[in-house]
This record gives sequence, structure tokens and C-alpha cells, in this order.
Amino acid sequence: MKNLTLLFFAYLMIWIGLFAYLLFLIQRGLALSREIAALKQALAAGNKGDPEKRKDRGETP
Amino acid sequence: MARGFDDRAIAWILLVAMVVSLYMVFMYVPTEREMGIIQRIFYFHVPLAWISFLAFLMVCIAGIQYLRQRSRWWDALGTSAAEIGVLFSTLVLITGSIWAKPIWGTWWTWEPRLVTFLILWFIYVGYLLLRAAAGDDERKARLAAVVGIVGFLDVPLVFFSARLLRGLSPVVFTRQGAGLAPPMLWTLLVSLATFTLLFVLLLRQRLFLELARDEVESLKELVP
Amino acid sequence: MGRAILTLLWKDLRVELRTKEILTTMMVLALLILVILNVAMGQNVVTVKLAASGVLWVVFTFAATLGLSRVFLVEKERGQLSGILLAPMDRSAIFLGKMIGSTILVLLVEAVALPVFVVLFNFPLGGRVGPLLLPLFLGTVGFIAVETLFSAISAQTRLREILLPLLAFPVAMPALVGAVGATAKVLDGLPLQSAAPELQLLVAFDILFVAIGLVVFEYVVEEE
Repeated sequence: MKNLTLLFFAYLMIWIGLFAYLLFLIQRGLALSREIAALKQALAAGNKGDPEKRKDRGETP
Repeated sequence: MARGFDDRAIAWILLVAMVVSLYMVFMYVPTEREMGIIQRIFYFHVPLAWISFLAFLMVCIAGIQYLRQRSRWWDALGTSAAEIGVLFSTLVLITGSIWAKPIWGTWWTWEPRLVTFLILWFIYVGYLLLRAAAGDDERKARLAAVVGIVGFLDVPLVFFSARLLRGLSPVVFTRQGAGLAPPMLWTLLVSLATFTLLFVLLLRQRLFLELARDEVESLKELVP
Repeated sequence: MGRAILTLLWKDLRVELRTKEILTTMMVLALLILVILNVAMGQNVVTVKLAASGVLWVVFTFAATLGLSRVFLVEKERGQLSGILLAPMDRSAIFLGKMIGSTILVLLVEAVALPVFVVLFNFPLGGRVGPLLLPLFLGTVGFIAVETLFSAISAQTRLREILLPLLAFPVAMPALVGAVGATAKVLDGLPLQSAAPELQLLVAFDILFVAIGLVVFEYVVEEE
């Protein structure tokens, strides 16, 4: 019985670890999404960046 | 490209599946007669092993597709799969050792499957090291693709050589798969489904992260 | 293609004959490792008999890795690689040329290290030299095929030669298992036929990895 409990906790710990990794990934993803949204907003607000750079990239202003 | 991958629904299903599989492994399934309680690690070890193998197969396919199409998406898929594959195969090695101790009396035994995973682990850790050291993006993707393909093609030979190394291997536990009692089989299947779900979720999130990083980089160049 | 390979091979060997850089460093390292292992193990007849094959292959693989890590770096430093890449010939010819050249150098090192081993470890070979040649040759070819490919990869990274063993050793593991096993059987005085499984593994490995190298090499040396 003692072994069973021990194994159960080992199992549970690995599961918690895997979930933590998943949550970490989601967290980072959300943070990056927010950053992307903010950057896009900054661009849309007329802050078009260096016109030369944009021309280099072949984009129309 | 980078809409957040909204996987909240899958995540909830995963949580439920995890509780169900824990219940099945520890309450529902009967204790195996010969090996005793430790045999329950089987429901953890085997799905992890299958899925890390699947992950490495994906690295290989992503490598081939990258070399053909040169798209960043395939490269990102390759890295993501390799990272998760290394994580899962680390767990395979750990659970394998915990299994081996009471059954064979040693933490490490040259069981062909275990050895194969050890070598795979080294190959894909090398893959990740290469990515970290390769410098610019195009070169990194190209060289990593080659290593991913070559590493996977090596698998059958590694397995065969591990069998040679061991000579006669002791009772191979996964061979019993065919003769599993129905409750054991169901538990294994539920556990496998749960881990597959976890893998899908991890892979999607990891892939999104990789692509989102790119997008942030390119947007940052636009904003002064 | 044959002529291109010969030209490349001839050029490499002539450069090497003039400078003797790679050959001497490999040779000296091989002798050093032999001495270190000799110091570590002593000359106990039983221990030496058990470990002989392992000792030989540790010496060969480490010495070979040292030399192989230079093969593409030297070209890169002298700016010769771009010249070769511009020449109108198949990329796989470069792979074969480099591989054959390196194999010749490593076989030379082995030819010197083997007698030194016999003397240092007091391990007379008697009539076993003849049958020993086959596993030595097959093992070396397989190992060098892998190392040539990964040498071209690691030369392009920031870590340079440090990365080579990390990438190549795991992938070359089946070749090492086969070579060590077959060599051990021959050194035990068993007939060559008894090592058939190991030799088959080696032949399969050699064919597979020379083929992989030929196909994949063009992706490795794309830029410059």
C-alpha cells in the first residue's frame, strides 16, 4: 500500500510538471500576443516607422 | 499568422482526462500478479515512449518538408516537436529506471528499447544544441533539418545494435501488450489518449510561440 | 564524378603530406590516450583481455574525431571551400572525396596505434591480425561517413569542432557497437564467422550512411 501511494505521488508530480510547462507556454504565448497587438496598434496609429526601411522592404507607404 | 491558439477547450478536456486516467491507473485497474504495483508505471511509460517516438518522426518529416519548401512553418514545427520529444523521452528514461529497479534489480539495464531511447535522447539534445549554435536563421533551419532526418533514419540500426549489445534480453514488458486483460488494455488506451491530447496541446502552443516570436521581431523592425 | 573525386582526394592528400597537420595531431592523441588507458588499467592480463576491443575503439574514435573536426574548418579558414563549391561538380563528389581521404588518414593512425597497443598492453596478436582487418575497416568507414557529414555541419556553427562529437557519437553508436563486438570476438580468438551479426550490422550501417551522406550533403554545404 505504501508503494502505491508513493507511485501515485510520483505520477502526480510528473503530471503537475507537465501542466506547469503547458501553462508556461500558454503564458508566454499570451504575452507575445499582447506584444504583437501593441506593436500593430503603434503601426496603425500613423507611426509608420522609417520610410527608407519600408522602401527597402518593398512595401508601399 | 499569429492569432493566439485558443486551446482552452482542449485544456479543460485534458484536465478531465488526466483525472480519469489517474483514477483508472490507481483505482480501477487490478494489480498485475507477477510484477506487483510497480507495473502501474507501464500506463505512464509506454504512452510517453510512443509519443516521443511520434515527436521524433515529426522532426524528421518536418526536416524533409523544410528542405523541399524552405518555409519557416516547417522549421518551427521541427524545433517544437524536437523540444517536446526530448522532454518526453527524458520522462521515458526516468520512468524506465524506476521500473527497472524492482523488476531487474538495477536502475539501468541494456534493454533494447531503453537504450534506443537513450541514444535518441542524445541525438535530439544534439539537435537542440546545434540550433542554439548555428547562427543565422536560414542556416540553422537547414542544418537542423539534416540532423533531424539523419537522426531518425538511424533508429532501426540503433535498435538492432542495442539488441546485439544485450545478447539475450530479459522479459520484455511491452511484449505483453498482446495478452493484456481488458481492464489493463482500457487503462492503457485512456492513458495513451490523455498523453496524445497533452502532446497536441503542447505542440500547438510551442509552435505558436515560435511563430509569434518571429512576428514580434518583424514588427519591431517596422516600429521605430 | 570519379575524376572529380580523385582530383579532390589527390589535392587533400598532397596538402596533408606537405603539412602533416591532421595526421600528426591524430597520431599523437591516439598514443596519448593509449598511455592514459594503460596507466588507468594496468597490465593485468585478465582486465586487458576483457577491455582490449573497447580500448582500441576509444582510441580510434577520439583520434578520428580530432582529425575530422579539422577537415572542413581548414578549408573554411583558407577560403578554399568556396572554390571547391564553385567548381562544376556534384556536391556528393566532395563528400566522397573528403570521406575517402579521412578514412585513409585514420587507417594510417590505426596502423600505428595497433602495434603500440600490443607493446604497451603486452597483448600479442599472433595470427589474429588478418581477421582483425575486416572489422577495423568496416567500423572505420561507418564512423568516418557519419563524422564527415557532421564535420561539415559543425564547421558552420559557432561551437565549431566542439559540436562534432556531440552530434556524431550518438548517431554512430550502431557502428561502434558492431565494431567493438566484432573486434572483441576476433581478439578472443573466435573465427570471423562467429561475428557475422556484428559484421552484417556494420555493412548495413556503412551502406546506409554513405548513401545518406551522398544524398544529404548538398543541403549541408549550400551557401558560401
